[in-house]
Amino acid sequence: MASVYFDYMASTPIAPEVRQAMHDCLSNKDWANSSSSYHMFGATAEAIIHESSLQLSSLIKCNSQDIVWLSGATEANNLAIKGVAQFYGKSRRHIITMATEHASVLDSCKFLESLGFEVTYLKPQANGLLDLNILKQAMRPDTVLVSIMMVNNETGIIQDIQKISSIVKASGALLHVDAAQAIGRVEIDLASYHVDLMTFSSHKAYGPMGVGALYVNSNPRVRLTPQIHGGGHQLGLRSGSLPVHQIVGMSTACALVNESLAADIIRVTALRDKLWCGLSSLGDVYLNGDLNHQIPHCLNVRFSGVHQESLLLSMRPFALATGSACNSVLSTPSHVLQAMGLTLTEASNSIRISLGRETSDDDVDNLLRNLQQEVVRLRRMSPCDGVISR
Amino acid sequence: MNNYSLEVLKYFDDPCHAGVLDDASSVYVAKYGLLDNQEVLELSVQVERGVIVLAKFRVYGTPVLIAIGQWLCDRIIGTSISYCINHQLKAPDVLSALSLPKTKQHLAQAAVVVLAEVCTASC
Repeated sequence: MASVYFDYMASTPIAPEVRQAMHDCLSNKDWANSSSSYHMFGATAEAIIHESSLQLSSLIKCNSQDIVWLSGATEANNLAIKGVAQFYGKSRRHIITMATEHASVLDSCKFLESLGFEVTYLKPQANGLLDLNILKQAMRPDTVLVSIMMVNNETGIIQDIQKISSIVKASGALLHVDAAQAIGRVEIDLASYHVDLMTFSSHKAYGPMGVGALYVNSNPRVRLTPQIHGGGHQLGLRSGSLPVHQIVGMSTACALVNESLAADIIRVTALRDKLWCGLSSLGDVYLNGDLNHQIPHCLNVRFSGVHQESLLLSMRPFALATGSACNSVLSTPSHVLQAMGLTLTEASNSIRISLGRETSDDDVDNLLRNLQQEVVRLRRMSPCDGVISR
Repeated sequence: MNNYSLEVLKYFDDPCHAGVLDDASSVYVAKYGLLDNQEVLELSVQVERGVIVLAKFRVYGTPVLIAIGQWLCDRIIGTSISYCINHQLKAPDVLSALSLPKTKQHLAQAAVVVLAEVCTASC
């Protein structure tokens, strides 16, 4: 079945330039173990890794030695949160995060709670944004870490990291920012605000799956207890031989999305506005988010009286989502939307539509036409007139 | 996409019995479920001389419940009320007909309840 892709927040197709760079890497003598730098093969691999670190660090404006390569954003979030907590946890055992974070942050926090740490889960405002006063009030002398996502994976809401950074820094805690959805969608400038740890993903930015990175500030140095042991690679923070071709793929992808960032935002914003305008004309359609504070690549939309699963099945020529792909083993309504104040039913009536570099004007027209038709059809089928016998 | 059975897809894709019946003395309606549980099934039947001549359903919920509504209407049109009462529909019958796992027992039960209610009302 031909399918039109509208799930760019779950993953993005590998860019042809990235595929070529990875192919070149695997085809040349670049496949060796970068730790074996005493021979030419290993030294070449090491040089490529160094170049990739330079490339990524120049995009996000940090020191290349502050980049730790990992298997993806989930591992990066685990290392950042558990690593900080375990290293500094003897004296400071309080962590602050948001109830709308990715499962890899929330589950890491839950794990730490089982070890005796105390975690405060801040609820967002109705539009998904963090109320900075609530954050200020939650800060405590024993707060060791604040972990806040830059761009939410279900709603696309962008948190004000600069202001959050000022509050956290003033309290003496460390700040971790999950920027898995941010690269290629918003500008990241680590030189303009203080962040101690930042998570990056490759496959959300047209790179390959299976690789990600964690920025670990070295000035002042952030200390982490490693979560994977065995060889002491990458200054002991993450043991394991580095996958050269994956890292080349990620750094190439990040450079590409960064180059086209401004033009991409303009193009995608026009598509998003057209889509939202068409959907809202249906009536009883609501945006879960805030157009003034979210990336244009994501629309989380609620259709009253229409269950998300039935809508998605009737729209199966289109690749749409109910929410986070990372929660797909659970068929429960979105924890993000519920934290924003939506009822279970409202969350169950919501779908996520995400746009990317291959989304065309025709794709949006086609999606809009079909969504309008299917929403009307399913609403006609719905008995939701408020009278329920049991 | 969730792994829906072929039977569920068949009935979901062609819900020709979706809708309501015009209010008439021979029309009986039953509704089961809670909006808060995202599961509501409504069955309307028109009964003439003790036989269900028309059946319609409405659903708010998942594709499985829509498929159940469509399957139920298909099954009961042309059937007598006395047959429905004497050969009472059971949840395992629904699960088996649509190749559903036991975890969907509560949805199958919705079909059992609405059918029993319209039968009782029409007697």
